[in-house]
Amino acid sequence: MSSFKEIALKDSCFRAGSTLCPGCMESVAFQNIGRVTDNGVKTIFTIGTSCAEVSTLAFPNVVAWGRGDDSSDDFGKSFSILHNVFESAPTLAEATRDVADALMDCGALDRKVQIISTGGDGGAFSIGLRTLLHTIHRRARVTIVILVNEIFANTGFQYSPATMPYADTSTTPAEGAPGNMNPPLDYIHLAIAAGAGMVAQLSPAHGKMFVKAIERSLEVEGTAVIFVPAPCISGWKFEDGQTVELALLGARSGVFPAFTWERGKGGSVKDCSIEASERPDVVDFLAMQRRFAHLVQRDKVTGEVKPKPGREQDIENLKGWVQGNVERMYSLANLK
Amino acid sequence: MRTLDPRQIFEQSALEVRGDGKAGGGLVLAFQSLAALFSSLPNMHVQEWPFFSSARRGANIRSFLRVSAKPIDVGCEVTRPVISLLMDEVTGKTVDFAGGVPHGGTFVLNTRRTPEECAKHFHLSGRVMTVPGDDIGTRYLKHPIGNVSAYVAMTEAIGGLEFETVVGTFLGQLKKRRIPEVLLERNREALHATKESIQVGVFDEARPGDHATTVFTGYGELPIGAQTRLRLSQTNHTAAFARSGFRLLFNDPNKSCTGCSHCITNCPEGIIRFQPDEERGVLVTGADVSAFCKLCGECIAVCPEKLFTEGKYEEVWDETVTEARS
Repeated sequence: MSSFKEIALKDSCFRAGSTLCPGCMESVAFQNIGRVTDNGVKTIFTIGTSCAEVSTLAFPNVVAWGRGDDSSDDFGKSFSILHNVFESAPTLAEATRDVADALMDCGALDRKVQIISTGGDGGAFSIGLRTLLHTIHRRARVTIVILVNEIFANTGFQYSPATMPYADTSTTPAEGAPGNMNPPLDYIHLAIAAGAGMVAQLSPAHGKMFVKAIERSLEVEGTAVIFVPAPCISGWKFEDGQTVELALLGARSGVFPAFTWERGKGGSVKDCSIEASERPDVVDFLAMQRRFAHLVQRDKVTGEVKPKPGREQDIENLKGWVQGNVERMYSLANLK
Repeated sequence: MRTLDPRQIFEQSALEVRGDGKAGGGLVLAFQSLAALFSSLPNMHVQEWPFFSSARRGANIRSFLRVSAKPIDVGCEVTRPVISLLMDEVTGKTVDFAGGVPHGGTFVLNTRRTPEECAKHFHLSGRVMTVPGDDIGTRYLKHPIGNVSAYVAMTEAIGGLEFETVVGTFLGQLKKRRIPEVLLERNREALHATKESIQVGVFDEARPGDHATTVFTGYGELPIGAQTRLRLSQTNHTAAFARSGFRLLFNDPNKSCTGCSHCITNCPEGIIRFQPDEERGVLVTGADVSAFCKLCGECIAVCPEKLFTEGKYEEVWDETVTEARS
């Protein structure tokens, strides 16, 4: 395994030139995945429809993937991308693995390949939950990266099964209603229960842990599923330059704790205490985003964040949900 | 030079309007308000739609509008608009906003430059109207957004509309978008303030062959299975996504970079420049700002030594214009 700094200096196959929003966390995730996969093994990405697909691969002009115009003779530097619709990224990865194995068996392919499937949370949990679970259940030796921005960002910020309670989305508006009332899908537990070999929830804001997890996921037996919390600057509606800060605060306050788990070894929750008093207040996380503007307000003079009048009970409910979320993560970490 | 009168055109056939701008810049709202304004008039047929990709912030987008006293029976994009709007100077660098506009058409630009400068720079022939929308936005809405002013300038370009209706329609559109009352009042002030700041001039600067329309002839033959080689695009210069008038700066005279490499791993575009360094592992030397920096500010936020900042930046169009201004 390479050190964090060594990885930082590697040559990513994801380059500038995409039409993703300024400060998009998906872009940061791809940069780092691109660097980790520059390890001398040919990579095949299968990408389902999502912001990260339509904004980086538009025939014939916008293509943010590549290593320059000269095609390298080095097989390990080469990579390819298979695109399919929302739900099909994991199953396509599984099929690719099967074909690669068959080619290896008959001697047509003499070098290893690594397969990474990416997609959004809407595509994975709403449209394509069945294919996701199927691929995990089949123990396909692929890495599934799911970029969780808690909305269907590509189509206009509609609710997805990963949306936080009380969030204002275009299909769960916070006008005359409290926002999203469905508790999010417990996707981490779902992935473990379906039979994943490795499950992690890490954003690139936890740089070292993130690249280590991606590196490990390429070696692990069985399916590795990595959920990447990806603050969406346009959908969560926060200020420029706060993406990394928000991802860290969200992880530390218990909304999406940094979590890694491996089958047979158990797992751990990092950088997030089970005691609510030792974590940053989730209210600070809410105050940075306008999708929670109906819940909290920031005092212009003191900078103190307070619940809006009449919303105290909603904030208490939300805090209760966060505490339950952290406790559940800790209990999941104890599974073997 | 004879200019085309938009009012006369929509009495006889469809008046076609097109706007170019950046996603998130309010172009869609401006065009929706125009559409709402015309559909509130009796016996008027209106067709309006924006054209954009999944990019929500900064990427080039287009908006189209057709207004006619007779039923509109086409539904294709507008390629020969009589009025063309440019919401953002930077967009004009990558898109020919004046493409296909007939001789004597109207050009509306959201800029603090004069109509003459714009006509010379973009080679425009016809009526040129400019409005410093970003400044008005900054003053009244505390945000450099030019759609309020662009909308008013467009209504002026068409002419013959009652100003109270113009204001009322825009505020009605804002109400639909659940904008708080305080902001509505500020928008009203901005709308009123715009009228006096519009500058108009008639120029004939287009050379033969300028702004010719290009016809899309298809991508050519697709390979079997739609397989293509991944050709890294170096043409999509996303620096145009950045807020206009600002640019990322890097200043490290004392070599205080600690080599933590956080900026390198957290840059969404991967454009931080660095060199190997024996002592700290890596020494950051800057970023490729002119081509790809979207000015998201992540490097500014994560750098422990605060080496990155953002600074004002104004593009110089050409020597003659600079001299004329000074």
